[in-house]
Amino acid sequence: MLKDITIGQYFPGDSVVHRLDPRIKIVLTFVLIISLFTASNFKGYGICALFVLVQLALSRVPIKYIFKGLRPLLIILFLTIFVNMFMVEGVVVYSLGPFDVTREGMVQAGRMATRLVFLVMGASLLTLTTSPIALTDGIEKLLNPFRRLGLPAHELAMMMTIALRFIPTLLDETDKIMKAQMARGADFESGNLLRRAKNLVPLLVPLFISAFRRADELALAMESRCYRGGRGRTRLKVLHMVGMDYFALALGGLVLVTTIVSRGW
Amino acid sequence: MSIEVTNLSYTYMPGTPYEKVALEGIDLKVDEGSFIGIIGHTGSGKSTLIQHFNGLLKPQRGTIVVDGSDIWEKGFKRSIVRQKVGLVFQYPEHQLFEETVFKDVAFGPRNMGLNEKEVLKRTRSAMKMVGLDFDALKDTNPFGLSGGQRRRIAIAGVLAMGPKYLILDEPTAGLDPRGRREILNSIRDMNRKQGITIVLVSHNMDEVAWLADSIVVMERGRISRNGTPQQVFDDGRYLMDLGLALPAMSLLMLKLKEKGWQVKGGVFTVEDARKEILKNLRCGNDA
Amino acid sequence: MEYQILMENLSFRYSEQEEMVLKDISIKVKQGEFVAVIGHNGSGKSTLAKHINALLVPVSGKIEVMGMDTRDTENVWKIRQKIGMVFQNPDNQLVATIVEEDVAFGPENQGVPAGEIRKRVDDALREVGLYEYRTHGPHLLSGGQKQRVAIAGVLAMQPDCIVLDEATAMLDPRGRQELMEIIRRLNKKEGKTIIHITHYMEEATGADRVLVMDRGRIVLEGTPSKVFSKAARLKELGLDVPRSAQLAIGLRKSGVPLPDILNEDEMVVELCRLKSRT
Repeated sequence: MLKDITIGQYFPGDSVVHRLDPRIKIVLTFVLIISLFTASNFKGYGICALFVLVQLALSRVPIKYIFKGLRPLLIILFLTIFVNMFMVEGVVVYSLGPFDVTREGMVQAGRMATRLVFLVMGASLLTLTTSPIALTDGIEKLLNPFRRLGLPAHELAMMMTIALRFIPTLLDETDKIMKAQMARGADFESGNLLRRAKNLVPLLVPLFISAFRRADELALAMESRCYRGGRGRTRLKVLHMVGMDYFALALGGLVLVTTIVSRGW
Repeated sequence: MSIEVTNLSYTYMPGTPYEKVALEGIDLKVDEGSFIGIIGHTGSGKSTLIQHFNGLLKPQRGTIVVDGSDIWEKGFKRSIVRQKVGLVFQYPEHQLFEETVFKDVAFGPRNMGLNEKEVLKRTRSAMKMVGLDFDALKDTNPFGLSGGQRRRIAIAGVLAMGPKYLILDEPTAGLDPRGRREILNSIRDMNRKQGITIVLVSHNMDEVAWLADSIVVMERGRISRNGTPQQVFDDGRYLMDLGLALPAMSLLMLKLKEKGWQVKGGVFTVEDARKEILKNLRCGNDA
Repeated sequence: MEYQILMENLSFRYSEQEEMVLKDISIKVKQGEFVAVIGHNGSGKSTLAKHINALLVPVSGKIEVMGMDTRDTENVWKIRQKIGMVFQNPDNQLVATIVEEDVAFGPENQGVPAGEIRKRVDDALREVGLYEYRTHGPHLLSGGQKQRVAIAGVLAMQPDCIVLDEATAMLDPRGRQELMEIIRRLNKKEGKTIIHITHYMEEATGADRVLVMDRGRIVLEGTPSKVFSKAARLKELGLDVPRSAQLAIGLRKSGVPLPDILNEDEMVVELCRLKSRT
């Protein structure tokens, strides 16, 4: 059923990683991405891997959740490995018909695969340990300095919050309208592509109308509660950096520096 | 002819942490021509049950037999069940999508593959049954009409498929008293005049008491009471303990009884209540 | 400032081509009053409600809230802080993905300091009995619980008056009852002014005053017992009379000396008194 979809894949918990300031976690994720792409040898990748694995261990998120996040990646991963192994020129190790597997190709494939896997692991850890609302808050605060350049940081965050709030509601509604139209003999399952697209009209029209109605009512409710944009707004939860956050930040800095230095090792 | 539910059980998201038992061992027979009220508070399994009647949900255990055939038997055409058993969801006006009233009401019959002459005939008669003027409204845009009218259009959309059984989930929710009355009167006429079997799910006890021949009380996925309105409302305490409301007059009778009045059970109309009270007051005078 | 809300000959239409939706309405509401507004769909009730917190402003006539004219744009935010609104659809008025964040939304907009918001949010959630649910997602709550969150969200702004615009219409009997208990308590204990717009006549019987609207006008006004004794007129207006009031009218016709009665409890008391006298 549609209700089974869980958005953001947040895994509630109270670990050190969960409690870190969302801004720090977002920054650390970027540190990881940069590190993964600057690392040039396996020592560098080792440092990045260690960084991710330590986070993972500290977060106490069951490993199967991480693998779940990797599953959709498998096809891309195989494709990357395959393309790199056969396409990169160099010392031929093994020949498979017209295709040559090269030493350089294997190294390149290994490198790309490592990058991809740890990148996705790091990003999943971010969403698994940070509630959507904290994530939104973090993004808003990080983007705030760019407000002067005309970036609508608060508005973006507000949009994300409302979208997250209404996803379960709209999924429920989709389910309900679909059933109601099926009760009137609508068919959402058979026919060719064009036919199927046309059959979606009785579902999509009511859904859009309802979304607009909801938006309208929500806007009124927000205005009634004195909402007038981000200016002058305070927050229930103020983001405070504590010792652990500074420590994590320092650790991130260390990882970045070491990977850069490791290029020369 | 009837809808027969035997030993029906259903669990949402079985095998996950979100597992929730919705129905457990339901046995129910809906006879053709009858008017059944289903009551029970939110989450008692009413909506899950009625979605089994027309095959929108597949039983995990148990059978649904409509007019003698098991609707989940191999090779059985479930589209036939959807025509026979009409289902009107809560706030059905939210499912309207066409730009004219006629087109929307005709959606069901057209899906059945009927010819245009038949579609027109059915649409006209369905709109009449819910008290809408076909000629005045057929070409108007439903979205410009009032909430009560849109709801009746949506009900007509289900009626136009010519169902023998009509299931309605809270058809009066959110309407004003006049709107409620109009819809209930139409539903009563469908049953009494057209012979359509009605299953009415409602939170409004006065509505159910007024219309239904028999009442089914649901509690935590089971049927806990099944009988005539008199029988069901006679045990007012039981319903109140379930957190259900009573028809106002049944509540009054219950309270008078607890004060030592000699009132008979199963009273739910103002007229019967008046008679009972007068009888009691006059008895007092005689003594 | 004798009256908290003062409407004088207020009229309103949505556009110049249309007929007036509200016609020449004059209402005075005192601090701490519980006013119920009834009328069929389209009678103008919701339009009236939206005038009270300046979501709409009159085309002619005026409305003053705590002495502030709603047409003066300087007053708008002060008025909205003083007048809390709860709307019909529980799903369409909660903003945040977590209950306590939603309750905090109002005070956040007002720029209240974080520590103070925390206190207000906790107090408001306790008031509506949902403190245990503060970290839940709203979509996991029942309709009645969502409406209570909406009330908490309004309370956190510390308003003097709460306007409920058909806030009970989409709830089941249990949800409705819980909401009404909270509203009555807020009125009696906290002295909040309540303006309750509803289709359910039983909910209006507990009010200090009932206003009946029809086609943009106030057509009946008075105490619940006075208004509900006019059964025929109410029926004409597409409204209902509570069953006990109907019964009282019927019994009176049969010569039973009963006063105007609004609910079952009053009826029991009156009948027992009569019986003991005989």
